[in-house]
Amino acid sequence: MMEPIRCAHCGAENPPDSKFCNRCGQAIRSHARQVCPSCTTPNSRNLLYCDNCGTRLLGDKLPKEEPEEDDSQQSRTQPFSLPARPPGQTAELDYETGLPDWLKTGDDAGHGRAAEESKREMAAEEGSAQEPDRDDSLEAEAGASAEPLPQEPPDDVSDEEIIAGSLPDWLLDDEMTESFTQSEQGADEEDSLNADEEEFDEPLPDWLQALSEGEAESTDTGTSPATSAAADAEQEPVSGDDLDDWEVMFGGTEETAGTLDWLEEMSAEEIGGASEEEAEIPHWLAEPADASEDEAEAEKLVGAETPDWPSANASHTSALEPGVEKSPTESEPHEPGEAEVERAEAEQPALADEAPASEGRDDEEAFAAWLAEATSQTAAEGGAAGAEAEAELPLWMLEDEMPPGFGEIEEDQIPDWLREMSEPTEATTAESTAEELAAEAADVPDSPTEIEGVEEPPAAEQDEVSQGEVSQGEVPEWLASAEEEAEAEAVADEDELPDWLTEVELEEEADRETEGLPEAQALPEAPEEEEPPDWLGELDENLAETAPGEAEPLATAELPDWLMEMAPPEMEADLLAPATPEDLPVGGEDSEAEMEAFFADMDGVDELPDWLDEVEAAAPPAQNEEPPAEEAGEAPEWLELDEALPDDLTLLESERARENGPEVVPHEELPAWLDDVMFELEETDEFLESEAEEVTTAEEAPAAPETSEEGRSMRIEGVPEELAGAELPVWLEESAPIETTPDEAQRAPLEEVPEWLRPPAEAEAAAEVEEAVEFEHSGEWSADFDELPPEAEAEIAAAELQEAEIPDWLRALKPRALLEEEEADVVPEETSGPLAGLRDVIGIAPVVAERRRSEMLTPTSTSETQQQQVTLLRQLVRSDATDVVVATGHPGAADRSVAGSPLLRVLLAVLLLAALLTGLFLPDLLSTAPPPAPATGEVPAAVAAAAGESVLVAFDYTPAMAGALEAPAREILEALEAGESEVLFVSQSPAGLPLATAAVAEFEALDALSLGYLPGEAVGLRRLASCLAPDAACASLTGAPLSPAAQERLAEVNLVVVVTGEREDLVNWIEQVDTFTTKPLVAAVTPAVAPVALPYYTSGQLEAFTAAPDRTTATETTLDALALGHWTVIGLLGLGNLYYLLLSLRPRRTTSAGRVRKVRGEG
Amino acid sequence: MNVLRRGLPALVAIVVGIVTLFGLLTVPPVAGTILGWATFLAAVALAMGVLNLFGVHFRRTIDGSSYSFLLLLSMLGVFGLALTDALGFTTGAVELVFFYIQAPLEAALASLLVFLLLFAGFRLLQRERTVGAVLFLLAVLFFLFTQSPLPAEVAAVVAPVRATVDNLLVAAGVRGLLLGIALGVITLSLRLLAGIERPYSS
Repeated sequence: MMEPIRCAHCGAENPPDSKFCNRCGQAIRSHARQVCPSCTTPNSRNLLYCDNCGTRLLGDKLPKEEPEEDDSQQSRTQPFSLPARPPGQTAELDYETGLPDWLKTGDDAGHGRAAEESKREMAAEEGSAQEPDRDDSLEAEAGASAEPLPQEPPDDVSDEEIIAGSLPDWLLDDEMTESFTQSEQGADEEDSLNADEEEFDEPLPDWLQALSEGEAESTDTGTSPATSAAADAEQEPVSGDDLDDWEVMFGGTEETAGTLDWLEEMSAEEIGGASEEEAEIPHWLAEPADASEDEAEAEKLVGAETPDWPSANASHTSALEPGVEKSPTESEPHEPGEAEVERAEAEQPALADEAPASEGRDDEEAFAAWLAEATSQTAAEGGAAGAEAEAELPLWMLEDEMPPGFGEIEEDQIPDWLREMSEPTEATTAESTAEELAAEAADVPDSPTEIEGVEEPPAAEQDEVSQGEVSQGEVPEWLASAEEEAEAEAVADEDELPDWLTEVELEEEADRETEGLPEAQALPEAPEEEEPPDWLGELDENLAETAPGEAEPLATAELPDWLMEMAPPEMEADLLAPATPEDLPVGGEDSEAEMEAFFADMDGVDELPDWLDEVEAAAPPAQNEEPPAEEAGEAPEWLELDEALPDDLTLLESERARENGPEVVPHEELPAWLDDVMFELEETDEFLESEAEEVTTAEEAPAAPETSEEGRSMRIEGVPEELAGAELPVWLEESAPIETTPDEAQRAPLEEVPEWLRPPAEAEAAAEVEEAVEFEHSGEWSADFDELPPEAEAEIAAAELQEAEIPDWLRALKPRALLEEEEADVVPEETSGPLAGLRDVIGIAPVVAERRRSEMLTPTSTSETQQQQVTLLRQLVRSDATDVVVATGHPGAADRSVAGSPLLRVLLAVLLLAALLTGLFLPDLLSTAPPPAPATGEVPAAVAAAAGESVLVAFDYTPAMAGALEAPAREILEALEAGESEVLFVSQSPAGLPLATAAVAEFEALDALSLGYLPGEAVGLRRLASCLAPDAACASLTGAPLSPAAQERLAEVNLVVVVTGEREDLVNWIEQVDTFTTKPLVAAVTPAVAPVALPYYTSGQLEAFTAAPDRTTATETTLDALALGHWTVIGLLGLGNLYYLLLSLRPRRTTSAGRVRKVRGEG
Repeated sequence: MNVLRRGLPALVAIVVGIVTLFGLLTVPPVAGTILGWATFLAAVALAMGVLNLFGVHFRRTIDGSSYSFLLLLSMLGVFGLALTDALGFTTGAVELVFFYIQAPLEAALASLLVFLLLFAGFRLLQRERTVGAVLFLLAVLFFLFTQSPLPAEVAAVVAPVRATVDNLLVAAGVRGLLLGIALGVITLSLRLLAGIERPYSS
């Protein structure tokens, strides 16, 4: 059952598969869900594993090596394993969910200041209520013994309880889920931070609470822990509101520079091996020493309650110091030589200069005395406990952190109590090898707790001293709450408060009251290069010889929850296993030894580790100065992977980003360790080797790059505001994956993308990007989408809309296989047809899928012009002629033409008639000859050749043409009669048949039979042609029965004679009859049809034809009449057109244009 | 319904056309049978035309048109004489009407064509003064002159010119026209066979 999805817009819960909010309708952003890489089931962001298949849901955000859980996880977690855990037995590193909440609440300075005030008030109110819880947890860890340190669990507590008590809450799935859910549900910043504080403060022991408070106070006041009280008295206290988180954490202001400077100076003194012990004792140790002069019991408590984890962490820190050139796996002890000290001082020259040195010697002297007493008392309590405590000392105190010249310390320089302690320790650590110790020491994470551990004793003391004096505004909220809790605890549970803390507090107060001087002034100005005290050197040596298995449980089991949360996931995973009763620290008998070890640890930090130097280097010189761009976003970018962070935190980051201004750090400055963490942790040895290199390179690029606003909007949850935004420790930075922001990546070329985002090979990445670009620009996919039905397009558009939130640059880098999966998700699955169950099937083209409407033939449409013409025609037909008018362009001419038309017509008719009559009635007027006949062959000869045979004669002329064709027809009939041919005559014209009958009748001797009227024109002629075949026997022709004689003659026809005056008739006879028969065809045509017959004659289809009046038939009278008529017509046509031609060339007179004349009426 | 109304005629026309075409080339009797149907249909169409003409002019006669009345009267008279000739009541009555009425009238109308053409040609350049009109006029004059009876001396000179013009220009022009007509007929036939041209469905 998947969890409902909460709408980012209105906050309403929606079903898991919802794409839009059921309340407000807003599209549910895709990042609100995370798709399972295995089954593609959408899951809520707060889920770590798929609700459907159980697959881890963070695979898409992790590098490619993520699926290889065994090897990659093992190698990745090795560097963060505690010394007790062998490599590989660590938990899986989960960057997103495994981080503690406080690391996700990346608080910016601006917003942090604004929120500190309100938070401080809330923390002050909640401090009293939370304090008893911490006491309870402390009791649970420490048991019912009077020993303040929780080093031995009670007998009645089970292993699980111990583990649960020692583990941070975020390691527990339920609680972790709840914390994520809280943060995702968009609780405001105050609530989330307070809730985180509660989780943070709950398991905090009293002494650690005091330490943390003291540390925070020291950073706030900008002075060293030892001088914080005095500084508070005289100097203007630096409010936590004016400081950035990292400043609060590491003392980035000028005043806080004294803190680090104090450490350096202290280390320098120790390294330098000053002969005078009191002068070499740090001032922060001197004050407790002074305070313990009166009460020696307090020192024991201090040593008993001091955990070993600072030493362990410090040892690891020393192993991973950037300045250390050798590999942590090497057994050679690390000797922080002068180079490191010089480098640290060179990075913090101003801080070193500003360190108060005038008034520190008094404190050192007092502390030296106190320390001497404490050590003597510790030695008196027994060497066994001291041996165990020494076994828990960190390795760096044994070998790695052996300061130069440490072995050269003379015996007189070593305090007695240290000398005593060193003897049994050396005996117990003889079995261990230096290689194992160094390797295990390297696994200790460089957590921020180291910082606290280093500063804890003075911080605790300072905190206790100045607790009541530091104003509320000067202390961060979380410290304020802690302070109040401490106060409440001190008042309510006086017995439970460690004595040493109480006494130290009292001592501090007394000292401050008596001296009235700032602690900063009392800070001794120690020489830079001084050897550590002898007792510290011995401690280091003894601890270096301690077996790793003995020291690890102390370092792990004693960690409180809030420190466990700060530890990397791998480290915490390791803490799960060793948290057994056997691994827990020994009883309170070792408390003194542990206390000494703690102080030794404190002193053993003879020089600042490189990571602390980096912190100092990152700290701005002044509190009012804006931090550098690299420091503004101390939280790495990989924290942005958590998309479920509340929006208010994003706003915090954006606020901070605005205050810090634009920050652009080129990718070239990206530290290599960030890349290596993601990809190069497969092998332990290689990692250990690379660790030193990475630390070395980290010096060059101390801060994670933050270039864009989004990149700067890092979110860290659960961290106190003082710590929020502070620069992450090395181990967190190393464990943090890098993710460039979209804007940054868009601006930066591909080569600037971090390596873990890149595919394995650069060329392959470029190839994939090119393929993706080509595929997008090819347009093939878009063409396919265009052909899809609208429904499919809508689905695809919706899917694309959800996926559009992925930046293009990141999508381009996405493996092609995943892209195909997305495409498979987008393209719906075929549910029917033979392709059912398949995806990405080419859709049916709309042309095919859509129903085709039958195109009906539209009725005949007429244009407007046609309609006008029809209308005009109707008017011409129906209306009277006088109503029709036409426009003439020349009115005068029209008038004359219309007026003269009847006269002209009459004149022309008269002239023509006169010519004809003249030729008829005046013979021999002209000595003319018949016109020459064209070369048409000899029709009479063809007819003569058919004598005695059957001849078919077609009389296809009407009475209108009878005047021109009767003469040739008679000549042909006369020849047929002369040749005694059997004649069959037929006509295609109803009027031609009587003419034929009449013509045939004139020749009595002619044997002729009529076939009648032949209808059908070409068809009729074709049927007649079928009957002309030799073997054809047509009993009927066109439906009319044929007589037997007619059938016999029709079958024996040897000549076809066509007399016609129509072109079509001649053509039909030639094409339909002559083509299908071999009978000769001759024609007698009018002169108008003669040009049509000529081509057929020349081609042989026509045997012969005649067109001119036959010379034999024409008489002299007709010739003269015909000649006169032709000439008259020719003359009239020529004269008339010449007249009009000349008339048109004459210049026209201007007349009124457009006059309408009645034409037909006048005609 | 639309399919039957539009598709069936097209289908019949296409099938019959294809059968006739291949029948004329391969099986002439089949084509002859179909052509017999066509001839019969043409006679029926003539009868239908006569009836339609009668109906139109009958309506006009009712409307008072005298010309239509004369037309109807002539039609019915000739038809009646044909019946009498067929029935034997009369002999050659139809031929008489034809030779004494129709033939002189048609010859008279044809003779008027000479006067009409003369008058139209006389004013040809009055309304149409173009090169074509001029060429047309010159062609008319040339052929009238060459075909007219001429004196022997003139005819001897004109005859070769006339023969050359007829054999070259006129024959070539007419051949072009005939080829164009043939190509048009082929194209139209193919369109009819393909159903693209449907003159029967308009």
